[in-house]
Amino acid sequence: MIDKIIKLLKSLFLLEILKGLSITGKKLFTKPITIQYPEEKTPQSPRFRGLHALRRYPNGEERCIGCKLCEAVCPALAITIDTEMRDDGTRRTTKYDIDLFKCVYCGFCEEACPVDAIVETKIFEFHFESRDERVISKDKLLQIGDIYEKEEIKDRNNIN
Amino acid sequence: MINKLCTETFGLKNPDSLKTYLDKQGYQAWKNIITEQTPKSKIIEKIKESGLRGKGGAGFLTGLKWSFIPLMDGQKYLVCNSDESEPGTCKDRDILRYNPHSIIEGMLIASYAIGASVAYNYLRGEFMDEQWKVFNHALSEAYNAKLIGKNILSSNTTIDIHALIGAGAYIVGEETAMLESIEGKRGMPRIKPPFPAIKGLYGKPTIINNTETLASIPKIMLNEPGWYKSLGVNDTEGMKIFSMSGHINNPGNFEIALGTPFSELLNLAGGMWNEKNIKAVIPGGSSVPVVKGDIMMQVNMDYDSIAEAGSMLGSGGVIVMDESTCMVSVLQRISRFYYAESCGQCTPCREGTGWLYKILTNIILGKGTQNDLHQLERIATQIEGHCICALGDAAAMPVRSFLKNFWSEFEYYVDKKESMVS
Amino acid sequence: MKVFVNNKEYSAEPEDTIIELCDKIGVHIPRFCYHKHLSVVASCRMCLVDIEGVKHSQPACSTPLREDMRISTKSEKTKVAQKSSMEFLLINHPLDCPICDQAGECELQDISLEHGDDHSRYMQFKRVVIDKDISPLISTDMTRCIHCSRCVRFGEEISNVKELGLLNRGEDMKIDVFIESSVSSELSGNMIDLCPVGALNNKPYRYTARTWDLRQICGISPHDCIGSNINYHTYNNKIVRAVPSENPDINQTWLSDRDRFGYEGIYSEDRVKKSQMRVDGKLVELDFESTPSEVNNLINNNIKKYGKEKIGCLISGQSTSEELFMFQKIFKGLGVSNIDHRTKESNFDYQKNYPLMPSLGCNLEDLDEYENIILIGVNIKTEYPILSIRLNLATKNKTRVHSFNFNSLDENFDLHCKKIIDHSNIESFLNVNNIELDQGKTLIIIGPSVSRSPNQSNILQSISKFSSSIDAKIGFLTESCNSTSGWLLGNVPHRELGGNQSSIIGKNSYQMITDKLPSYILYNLEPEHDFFDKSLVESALESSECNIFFTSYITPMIEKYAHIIVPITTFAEADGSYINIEGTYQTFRPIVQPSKNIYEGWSILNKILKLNNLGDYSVANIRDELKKSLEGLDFNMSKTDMSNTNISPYIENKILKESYRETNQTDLIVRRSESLNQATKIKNKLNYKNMNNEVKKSYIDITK
Repeated sequence: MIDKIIKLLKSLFLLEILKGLSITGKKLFTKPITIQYPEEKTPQSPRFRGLHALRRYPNGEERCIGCKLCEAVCPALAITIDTEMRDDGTRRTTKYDIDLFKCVYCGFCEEACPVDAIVETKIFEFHFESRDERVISKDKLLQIGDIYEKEEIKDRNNIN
Repeated sequence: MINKLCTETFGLKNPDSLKTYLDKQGYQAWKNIITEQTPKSKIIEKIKESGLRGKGGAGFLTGLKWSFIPLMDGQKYLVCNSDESEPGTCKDRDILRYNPHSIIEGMLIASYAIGASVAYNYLRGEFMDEQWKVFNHALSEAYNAKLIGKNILSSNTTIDIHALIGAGAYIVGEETAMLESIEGKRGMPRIKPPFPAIKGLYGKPTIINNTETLASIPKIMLNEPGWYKSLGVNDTEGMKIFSMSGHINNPGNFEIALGTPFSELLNLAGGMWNEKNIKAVIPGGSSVPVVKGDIMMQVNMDYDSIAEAGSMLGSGGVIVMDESTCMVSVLQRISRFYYAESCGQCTPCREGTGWLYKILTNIILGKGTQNDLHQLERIATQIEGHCICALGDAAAMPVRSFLKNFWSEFEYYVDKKESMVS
Repeated sequence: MKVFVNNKEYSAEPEDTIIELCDKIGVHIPRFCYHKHLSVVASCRMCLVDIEGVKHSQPACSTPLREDMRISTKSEKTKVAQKSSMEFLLINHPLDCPICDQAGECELQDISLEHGDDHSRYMQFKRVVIDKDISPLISTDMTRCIHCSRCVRFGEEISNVKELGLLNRGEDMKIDVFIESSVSSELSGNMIDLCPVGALNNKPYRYTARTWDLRQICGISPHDCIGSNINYHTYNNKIVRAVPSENPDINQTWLSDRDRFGYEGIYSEDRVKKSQMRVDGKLVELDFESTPSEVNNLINNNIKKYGKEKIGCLISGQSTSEELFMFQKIFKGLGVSNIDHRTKESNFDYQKNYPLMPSLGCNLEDLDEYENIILIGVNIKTEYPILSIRLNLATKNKTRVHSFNFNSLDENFDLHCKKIIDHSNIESFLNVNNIELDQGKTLIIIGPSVSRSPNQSNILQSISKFSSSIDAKIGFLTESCNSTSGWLLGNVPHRELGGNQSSIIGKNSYQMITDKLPSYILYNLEPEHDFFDKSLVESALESSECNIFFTSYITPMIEKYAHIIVPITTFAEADGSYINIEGTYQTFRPIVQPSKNIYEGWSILNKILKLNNLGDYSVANIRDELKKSLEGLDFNMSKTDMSNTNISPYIENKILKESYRETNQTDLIVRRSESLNQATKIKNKLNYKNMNNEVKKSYIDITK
């Protein structure tokens, strides 16, 4: 009986609404947390896992040795690698494809790599105009690596 | 000294000639055996009774070793181990040089006793210039006197002795590696069992004895059964040549009765050089543990007393070091020797000796750490007992004993980057 | 004998060592240098185990068992000993697993996972060894070597060709050759398998795939009549390498280089990719569906046009039993009796009295039971490398091997006597006074050079007479891998399926070629290499009006004279089976899928059979029928009597007396293996330098 009376009183005085409005009122005078993407961007961790890249050594030699550990560890089977012996006798890839539709950006490839060749950059804004473009090839990956090498080094230093 | 076993002809004119040896009752024992056709078992029995122990290092009873040889007919071999490469030891070198006939006679008696018709004397490669020639000359003399060869002294006994020269590998001093080398293969130790007495040279029963052991045999055979035993002093039996080297005034070979106090031996060798204090002694060639000088001065030179002092009599190469010696450098030098001489067959020795040497070199260069010392000890224990032959142990034992006895000196070197003594 | 392993009681053979017992009872002991077919050196010290009452751990591979021995493979002492050996092995081993082809199947990797430490305490420089190019088949990374010396012992004990040796000592010890590219024996590839690490590796396979990518399918070697079992490893539907599949009765754990690298021939550029037909003198492509009926029409038209006796049907002894079965089924069904698989022979008077099939006369593992083995017209080292392992062990046991051959090639095992014979004087050689026979059993092995000689029948007759005079058994080694099936399944003009005599005796291969028939059907044969005389075949094909080729490879002669070319699969792309020289029937599945316009051999034959209403088979049906027709036949004939052969007088003719086949030229697939060809080239260069002049002369003749 008493419960019912209390409930009636609460609804009569619109207590719930006032409670809600009090939060609105508070937020009216604080700094808004909404980010105006794409003009504004959230801060990124140095460990952010975005688009992949293949790195090179400072002398221009590609790092990847075609050990296929990333291919083996990839939970989504997104990586396909073919290798052969290059003329100088080193083990190199002839094909390094990543299917970005399959990729779950888990970063295992990065972790498995014994030579720090495959990395995930901070790039998260990319698009394709046809389905075929989802597979990025070795050349593309190296290109991305060349562009973002400096950032990569910086991130790596930040982590350690 | 009064009694001389292997060193009888030393110091005489033309010590290596047959005539000199014959004058000293040489080949008498052999002639007796061959004319009387002494039963083989009787010879082996006599050697057993004499208590003669192998003088190459392990000190195994010679008579007992001979008795392992199978009695049945068939080709058997005797091998004399003159591949004397243990650092600090030079006794066989002098016997080969000054008393080769005693070796030949000893080999003949031993071959006769075990029933071998062919015997080999394997000399180390460095003996090429002198001892090899002397021994071969002595051999031809003995052949001419019809003491060796076919139908010796018209007795229908045939024994041939061949001298071989090694190519300069320490490991070939190990008996089975020596057999491999004689067969023309890489000098690498075999796995035991089977022991050479059962399956040795060319798969036939083989006895391998040290040069000094064989050189002692003629005199033992010539004398009464208890004679050799009575030579020892202080409750020990027999004699031994000690090669004295290091910081002493008069280095050289000294044949003394076993059981003689070390201090007496040191006096024989002219005492300490520049009258400095004795710091450490390696009593039996570089592969035995080092003993501190003051302890050594209390020790008698025989198998048991030295074992009590924590070392081994080994091959009798006594290296004396005075107070100015840097033990770290000594150990590094010893380790380098084993690193260079490991045959490479089994893993712990092949990899471990190199590791030990590299760490010690690092310490010498002043890059060592406290941890390196523990590392050294650990590696040495990991090598010990895990190899086919004794070279692994030989490399590990000095490291452990040097660290045990002179830990503070090693610590000082690591901390101060310089030697404690210089 | 009673022993205890990990406190459990086992009964053991007294002559066993600890590791042998543990392998039998399934207790794992890590090892590197130990291999069951090689001598024990106990040098890796990985198998150290704790034995109660013994101060230090002892190597399990060299320690014999004792009564009541108590062995512990899991105690703290064992663990410490094994861990320390592991640490020593790893200090100088490079950490290049990511680029090492052995990774994933590496014994060092496996054992270090179990017994190794997760960090290294070795801070000094590692040993580096500079590699030599030792062979076109074996790649070396000697820095990875752990000195187990298995490869050295293989050369000393198994192949008896000492190719690799130990140089230097201590830490500088290395396994090496003195002369570059001098590892060239026919069995050298086995060292790749023996190497527990990545020091010796498969060169053609280098860097193509990782072990975990591979699929493994077991096949049977099509390169010799021994029938070695091979595990083919495929990656992306392509064979990338071959390793032996253990079969104690046949190849044990070994494989000859020919079997190991022969598969490369499948990927030759000569492969026929589509059926072709000659229209107006030019070959035009034919579509897949219409080919069987086109071929069938041609065959039937030819029979109508020229008559049954004017058709020549030749099939290779390299074909699978299924193909051989279907082939004779079609042509004998159509009434053609000119059918033969013996294309390298030229004298057939012997055929009536020939046994059911050429057989070794004994099992391979029984070879060492013979006191005497007489080899006639065969060089085991180059022609049957895998057999040389058995003979090498037999000679070390008690067997005396005598060799009578037409050339002076050496064997890799000890020969009691070796004589060079001529085709004409063999009879005088086969004389008890000439051969120092030991008391006991004797086996005479007749090799392919005999079957190739122009007076084969005479030779067989005199051998037969000789064998009965000394009470010896006769065995054969055949030219092709499946000649046995050729005989058993009626691919000879005078016998039917199962070896029954035919009512009509057709023409043999020599008659077919020299009679210049108007139509030939050649199955899996290369006119350039697979016949007794190239020029005779060429003129026969030229004069013929219709040549039907079932072939995997196109050759200039096929291109020139074919009327129709049907692409068929090789051994690796279809179901098949072979009967080896002991009479063992071995089947296999397709290893890779053929490309889409290539017919499986048996299935195109089946289609033709169906079109003629002669039956319809599946692989299983064929095999059932094969087994039915071969049931109850005695493969290992107890006695071969060929002494009553009627021999037509021997006429000296121009036929090439080819007495030697290059190891890597024996069949059409190995002939196309690039790595093997390169190996042969290098080997010849090396051998040529060491040959004496007499051999040099014969050598030049061969290579022409």
